[in-house]
Amino acid sequence: MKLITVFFCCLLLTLAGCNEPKTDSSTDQAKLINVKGVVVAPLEQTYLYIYKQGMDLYGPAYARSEATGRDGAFQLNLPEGDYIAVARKRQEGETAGPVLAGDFRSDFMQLKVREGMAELTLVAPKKIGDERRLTDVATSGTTGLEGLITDADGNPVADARVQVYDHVQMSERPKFVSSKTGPDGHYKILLPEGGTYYLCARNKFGGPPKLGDLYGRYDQGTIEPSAVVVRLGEIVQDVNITVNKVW
Amino acid sequence: MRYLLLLLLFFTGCQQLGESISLDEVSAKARSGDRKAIEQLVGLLSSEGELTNERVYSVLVSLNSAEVIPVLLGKVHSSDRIQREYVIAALGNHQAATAVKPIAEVLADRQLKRRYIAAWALGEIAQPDCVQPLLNALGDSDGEVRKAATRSLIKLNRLATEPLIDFLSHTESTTAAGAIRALGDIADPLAFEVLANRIKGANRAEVILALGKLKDSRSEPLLIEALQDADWQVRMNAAMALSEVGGAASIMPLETALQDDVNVVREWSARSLEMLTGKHYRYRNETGELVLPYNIYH
Repeated sequence: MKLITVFFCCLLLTLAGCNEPKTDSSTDQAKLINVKGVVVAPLEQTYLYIYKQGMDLYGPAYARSEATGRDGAFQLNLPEGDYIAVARKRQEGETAGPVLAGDFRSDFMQLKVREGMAELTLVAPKKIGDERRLTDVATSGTTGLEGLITDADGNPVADARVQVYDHVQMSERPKFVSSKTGPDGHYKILLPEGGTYYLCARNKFGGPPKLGDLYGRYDQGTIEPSAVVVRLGEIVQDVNITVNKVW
Repeated sequence: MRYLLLLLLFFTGCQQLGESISLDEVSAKARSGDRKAIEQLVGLLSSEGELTNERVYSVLVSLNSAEVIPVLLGKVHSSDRIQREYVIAALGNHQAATAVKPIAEVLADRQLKRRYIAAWALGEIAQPDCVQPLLNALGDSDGEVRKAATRSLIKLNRLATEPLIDFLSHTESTTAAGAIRALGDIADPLAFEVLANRIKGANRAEVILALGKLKDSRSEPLLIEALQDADWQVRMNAAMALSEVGGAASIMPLETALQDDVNVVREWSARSLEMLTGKHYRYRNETGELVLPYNIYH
């Protein structure tokens, strides 16, 4: 029995030794202030998003903490200054994208980062209802678009979302986002009004598409995307998008 | 028996790591110019390599071009469509001029899948001999190939202008759309005549957008006339394009178009009027309210 215990300890040590060392991304902490706190209840796997004043509070953040552990604790290093903080936990574990009904999020809070500041405590209740998720809200709507997301072989792509923009640069955050596609690659988005829209589909959220991501824009190869005109009371059919790897 | 189980657990736990170290080692050797290691990496790209393809590809595009291109060239015609796709993408990223011919062969072989990557890569390589294979691909049966070919011709820019004009002068309307779009985005005034000659044809909606992008004032009367077209998409495109080339002569026709039967024609007319005059123009939306168009250029 003793021999087994020793052997088991050796095994654990060996496996622990196999793990890659964790890297500390904050290499220059001389001018940074450590911001700590906890998301109660405690809430695990929650991220704290930091925005600078004037930033789009629903777009990419200035900084983001690592996910909280079981104790709901977070910390990150920030330069001294005035910020806006918000805690978000998406059920699907993503770090970006819309916060949907069933996800958790705190109110936006003003955050003054100074030497010796107190630890933060945030409450992030579950979101009930969803004003932006028109695919769910407007279930009886008659204006929108639908189609298929396929890959380069023409096969349906699951777990992709269609992002709908009302401006041609398709920058910043999309105005509407579809639910994830199922195994059939089908999506449908209901819209509050007709108009001219620009679309893309992708399998990741947040920031520009990266190497290896699946991404496809609804266009004909031109620099600007193709406009999709949706009339009030019309569901435009067959707005199909092919996603390819970003090379 | 317990010892045996523990031993099995030990080896299983370290197996994945062993592969990881191996890939890192091969990558390090490849970075030092070891040809065999580069060949090993290229060999790892395959349909079965879902877990490693991305990592291997990242390494391959970071290697010295002179060392990796000869190895990649040997796999351009791979029968594994995934390996072929990665190899051609890597050659495109390395802008391998010596790869144009084999990549063009892949692009032309309509039996092959995922040929869009060949059209994409030719646009990255951007050599004069990329133009003709891309022009040929504008008539491809695969929409993704046509789209990638159009995009690549736009990237080739002035290299492609005259071949595109020549192509458009002789091609059928079914294969002309990509050339029209490419000429619009290249925006060389040389393309005016060949585009203007097609303004009554089947691709007139595309022609109108392209003429707008040329920003050539000779287009203005043609676009004004197109505001009367029977097809609302043509009228909408004309209203859009006039914001680029319109002058004083466009204002009254666009004001008339504010009363068009189709909402988006009214909306784009209001938007273009604002861009031409600097004044706000309201239009009647689908619910009958008089509203300002939102700014699409945030």
